[in-house]
Amino acid sequence: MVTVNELSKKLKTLEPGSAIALKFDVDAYFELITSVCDDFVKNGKMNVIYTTSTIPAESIINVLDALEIERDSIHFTDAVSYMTMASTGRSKGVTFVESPTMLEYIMLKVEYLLRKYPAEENAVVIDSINSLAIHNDNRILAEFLHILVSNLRSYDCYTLIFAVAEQESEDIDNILAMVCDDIIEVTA
Amino acid sequence: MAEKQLTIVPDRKRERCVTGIEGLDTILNGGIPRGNSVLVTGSCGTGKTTLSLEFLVHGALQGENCLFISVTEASEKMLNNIVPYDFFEDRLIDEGKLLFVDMPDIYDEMDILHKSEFSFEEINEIVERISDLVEKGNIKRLVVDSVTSVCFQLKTEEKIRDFILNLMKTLSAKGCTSILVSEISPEEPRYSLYGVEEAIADGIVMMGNLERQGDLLRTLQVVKMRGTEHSRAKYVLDLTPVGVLLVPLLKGGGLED
Repeated sequence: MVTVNELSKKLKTLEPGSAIALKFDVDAYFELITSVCDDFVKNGKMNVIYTTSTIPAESIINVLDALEIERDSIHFTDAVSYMTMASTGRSKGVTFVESPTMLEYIMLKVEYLLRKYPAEENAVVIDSINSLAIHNDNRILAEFLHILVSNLRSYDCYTLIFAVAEQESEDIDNILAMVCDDIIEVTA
Repeated sequence: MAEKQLTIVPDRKRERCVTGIEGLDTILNGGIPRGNSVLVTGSCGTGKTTLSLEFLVHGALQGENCLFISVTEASEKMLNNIVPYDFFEDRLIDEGKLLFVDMPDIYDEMDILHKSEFSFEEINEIVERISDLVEKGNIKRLVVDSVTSVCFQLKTEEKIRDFILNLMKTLSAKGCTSILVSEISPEEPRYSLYGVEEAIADGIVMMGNLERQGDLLRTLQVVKMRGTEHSRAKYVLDLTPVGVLLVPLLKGGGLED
């Protein structure tokens, strides 16, 4: 278990291509985003592809902007705004997937962003397995993560899967154990 | 009667026409066997034209002369509606590496533009004119979009067979790899409108719209490709500025087809 302040230090020890589940207390959500999008990527060589099915990308962007976090190297895939009929205005750096059930298109948008913005290092954030599990059957979710993580490993790309500690279930734990190298518990 | 000497070219020795669409080349084990005529078939909005055009653009970038014959709409209008590729270079058109010809212009030259049905002679002349374009331009990649629209004026199965067979034979003899776009309605139980095209083609790439729990996914499946081993699985595709991207269709959930 690590505190959110210690997380970036821990992440920097990861081997390229690692897939990590970050099981966090819901209170630590925005600190976790800050830690991943700011502290972890501060070396300037890393691009982050942030896929959200939890809250619209616009909300995360607003948080990052409020904290004055540089987000030139952060690209968003938003799989929730269309479904909630939220604004999908042309926010810079955001690509949209119509629904969190369109898991193939989440993979395709990640692939697109990796090709569109080549970088020395890449990290893909999945926020979160719990929100994806609301909309998808566990079998298809496991298949999705297996294919996505395997593909990202071939790019030496870090995969960081968010999991809300308060919403843990045996099925989700099994999926994470299957696709991830490690599960890190993060507290506020 | 003298026996004809056959030359067998094993799979590994057939030269490939690398489509440049990475996912498709992987599915095809390195690309389309050079000289094959491939039917790219599907209903509207499935990405047939975009895929075909990308095949030509990559060919032109690799230095091959490529020709797009547009039958249904003027090339200029078609180009305006296509996804703007990051890798497209204007010089490809300026240098004549990527040529566009509108089929109605060919019909007009032959004075058959307003005919409702073509004769066998006229069909042969159409094939000859396409063959001349390929020969004179040293064309290595050709797209006819769509062959269904040409067949619309041929009416009989015999004429359609004659046209497609002659066209494919001519193109193959010139080492030209071709994509013949075929339009079918979503309910169609076969791969081409007339049923003739699919039997003659060296390859069939089926593009479709798959509805899954209210989501509409664009799919691609290589049903047949002579001269190579290939995957026959269904893939989901996205049309992006970096080109057509493909991922496997997930099978975990319930599917409606």
